[in-house]
Amino acid sequence: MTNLLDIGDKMSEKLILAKSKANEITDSGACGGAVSSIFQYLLANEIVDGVLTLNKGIDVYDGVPRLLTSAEEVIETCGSLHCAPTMVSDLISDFLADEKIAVAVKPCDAKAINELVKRHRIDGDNIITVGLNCGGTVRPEVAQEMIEKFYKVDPSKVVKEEIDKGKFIIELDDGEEIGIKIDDLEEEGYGRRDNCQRCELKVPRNADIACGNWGSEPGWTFVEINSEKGQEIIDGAIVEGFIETKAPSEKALEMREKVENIMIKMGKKNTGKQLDDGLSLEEWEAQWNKCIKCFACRDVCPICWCHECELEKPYFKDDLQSPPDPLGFHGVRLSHMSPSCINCGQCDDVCPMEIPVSKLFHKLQKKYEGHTGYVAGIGDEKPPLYSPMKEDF
Amino acid sequence: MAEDVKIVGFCCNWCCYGGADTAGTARMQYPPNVRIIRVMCSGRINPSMIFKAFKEGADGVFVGGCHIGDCHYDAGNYKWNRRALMTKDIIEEFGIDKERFRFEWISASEGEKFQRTMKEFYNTVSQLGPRNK
Amino acid sequence: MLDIKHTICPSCSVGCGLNIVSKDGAVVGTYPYKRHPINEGKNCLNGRNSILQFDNQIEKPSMVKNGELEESDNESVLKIIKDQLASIDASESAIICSGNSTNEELDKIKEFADGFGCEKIGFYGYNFPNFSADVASYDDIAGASTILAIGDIYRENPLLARRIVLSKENGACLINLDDVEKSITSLNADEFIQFDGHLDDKIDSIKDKLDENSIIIANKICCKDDFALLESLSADTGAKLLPVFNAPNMKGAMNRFDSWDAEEVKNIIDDSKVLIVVKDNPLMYLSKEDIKGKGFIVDISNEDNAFAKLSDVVLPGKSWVEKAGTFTNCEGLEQCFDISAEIENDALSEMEIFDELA
Repeated sequence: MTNLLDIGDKMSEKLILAKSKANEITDSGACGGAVSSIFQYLLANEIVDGVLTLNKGIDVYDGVPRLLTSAEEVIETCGSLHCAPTMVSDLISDFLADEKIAVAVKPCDAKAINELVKRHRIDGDNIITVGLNCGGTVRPEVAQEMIEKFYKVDPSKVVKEEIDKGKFIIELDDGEEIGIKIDDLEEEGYGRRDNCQRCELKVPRNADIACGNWGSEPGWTFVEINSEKGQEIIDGAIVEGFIETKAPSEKALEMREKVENIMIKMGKKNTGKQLDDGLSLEEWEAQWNKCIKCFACRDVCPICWCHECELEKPYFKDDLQSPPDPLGFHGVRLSHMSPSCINCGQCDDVCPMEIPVSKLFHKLQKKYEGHTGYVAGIGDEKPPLYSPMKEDF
Repeated sequence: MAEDVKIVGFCCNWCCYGGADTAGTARMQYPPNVRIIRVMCSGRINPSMIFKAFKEGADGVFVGGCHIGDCHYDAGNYKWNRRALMTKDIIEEFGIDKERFRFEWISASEGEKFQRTMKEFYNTVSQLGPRNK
Repeated sequence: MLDIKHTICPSCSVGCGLNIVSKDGAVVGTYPYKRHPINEGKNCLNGRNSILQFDNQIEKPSMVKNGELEESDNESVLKIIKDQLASIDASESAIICSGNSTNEELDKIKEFADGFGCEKIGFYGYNFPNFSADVASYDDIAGASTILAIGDIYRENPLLARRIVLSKENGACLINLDDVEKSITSLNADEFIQFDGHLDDKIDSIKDKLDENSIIIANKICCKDDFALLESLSADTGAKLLPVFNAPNMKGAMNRFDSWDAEEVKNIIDDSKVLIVVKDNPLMYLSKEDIKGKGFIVDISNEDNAFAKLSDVVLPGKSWVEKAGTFTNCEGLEQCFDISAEIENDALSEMEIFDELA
């Protein structure tokens, strides 16, 4: 597990190209369709009871998690949705804890699942994580506005989007592709969610396998095998005839590493820009002044889960005529959660008052990481905060 | 002393509280601004207790535990130490000077250290003045 | 089976989107609906808590005996209602609707009322009278230069307050008018004007601050006359008006029926021998004495509350997750929603109930 920390420095040795062997899936799936075939394999062979994936709702801007229980259903979910930022870990811990499932995860989903496994909210033996490389996600409303404004096309004409080589690329229903540099979009205040801009984990090596198209050949999916469980699944899917695999070329590996490194570099740069040179104390004060203590940030946080929340204890009651004491509300939440903040940005997404909550959580996680070396969402250990060990941190 | 400051001091039962007691029996004077709350162990203190104290109007919060290695419950002060560092990081983000929060290891026999620490901390907090809430 | 489906939040008239999580026929949670243009996945506590109603609700058609509900069946309860209706003159009946029903249900109720000859049909409008003038849209708020907020919009309608927050970032000035000492809205306002609940003596001082780039948002009003003052304030200054209601489809109800104040509802109850109340709790604005012992009361609602115990028969109807239809939000947008949770339940829907009664 330790090699998970060397993100970007070293590619895993278990790198393969995979491709679906069933044609109706290859045709509709995101590059290669290997992910769909793996899910089909898992369901058809009853290795899992269900597969939790993101489904297209109204259109490509609407992602709805869905639990599939038969191999035939898998076909309907093919394709990725970069304009539908969701989080699936709490759906698993809250509603699917007793079931054996496979789940399609972005790096932040995988991190959240990792933290919940450490907290015994998800049974690691019951879950197979199929990671999808992620260059970041865009808020649905922002995406539509951006596509109208910069791409000059009707957002409803977009059938697919992806992030590759530093560009946000859309594919229209007539097959046309348009790409614009993410940097340019983000400079104008559009583009990916703020937390995604700060993200440094693009290939979910904390999932059993990590799949994506970076560096792959047309028709193939690049698969990185990260765990024994991942290896078993790939081996099984080959034996059962669901996928075929081959070794990637040197050039492909280089290409992939390059794409990933560019993305990680962007993430680091944005982290500095947004967190270190972020809001001033006065600006934060104005942000806290808007807080209506609606608990949306707490409730959506994939890792925060206590049945009895300390913030609802009588000694932390606030009067309803004014915002809560910032330290007594957000400070307490920070003290509970920030060491394990995975920077998924859900708290920003759901805040009715547009308070950029994640910026502070992520900032303090980074500080904590600096003190202790603890990277949230990766590895087998909980933050050392909970350790009974007699050591300084 | 026109505007006097309020200090809350959490003291562990086995060491620091004993230290305060020692200071008391030896008639060593320390600032009366310190309100002591006895806890069984510094490892029992959460950042939220510190935040609650600030929320309720404390101008400074002190935590005293046993010396590292002397914890009555083996490793409680190690746990507190980890939380204390995080507590410092958090209060700063809310505009509370980190000098307003102090923790120290004081044994039951160290009455003099207790007195000295309280005087120092009182001076620091006085200089910063009351928090305008 | 885990299921996540879109719906419209029933907690106020802003019209936010909300995803309902259901498992094996029971609602178990909510999930952000980020694609929804009004709230982008953000929901307030009331909205997210709107599923708590399923923890404690009336599931069976019931008769009320000595203040306690006794389970019955659809046929028996419907028969009693029909007998009651047959025994009176149509003019002795009244129907109290509410903004909790869909437009389609309201139309169905109207159809029934017309057929039966019931002319007293309306809803409690929280002192907002019927009005048909154009209202400001949410997009108008973003570009407003001055916003006059009446009531604690930040706490009570947070997703509308979000529009104010964004507008303030664009430089808008927020004036808050309220009869409370302070509120989150007042603390975020550039100017707070406290008043005793009646607008008349404040109108003049506010007038100069508003122009055609202003918006007046009100979520509370003390009487219908005060609303008329707001209308004339809007007419005089060119500021657009946006009344915000606390039921998801009150605008839809307002487009169809008379908006009554508490006094009017009280008089209606006094004059009725059979009173049908659909998805409303008159105890929110009337006292027990105003209601008790007057006529025969039919409560069509699954809310297990004191009013159910005051009535004579209860038909639960369907909860909003079990319905498909439309709500008209406070900016006048009609939003369609589908059934968001399949709940096993043999209660008749409101549509079926009024079909049966007709």
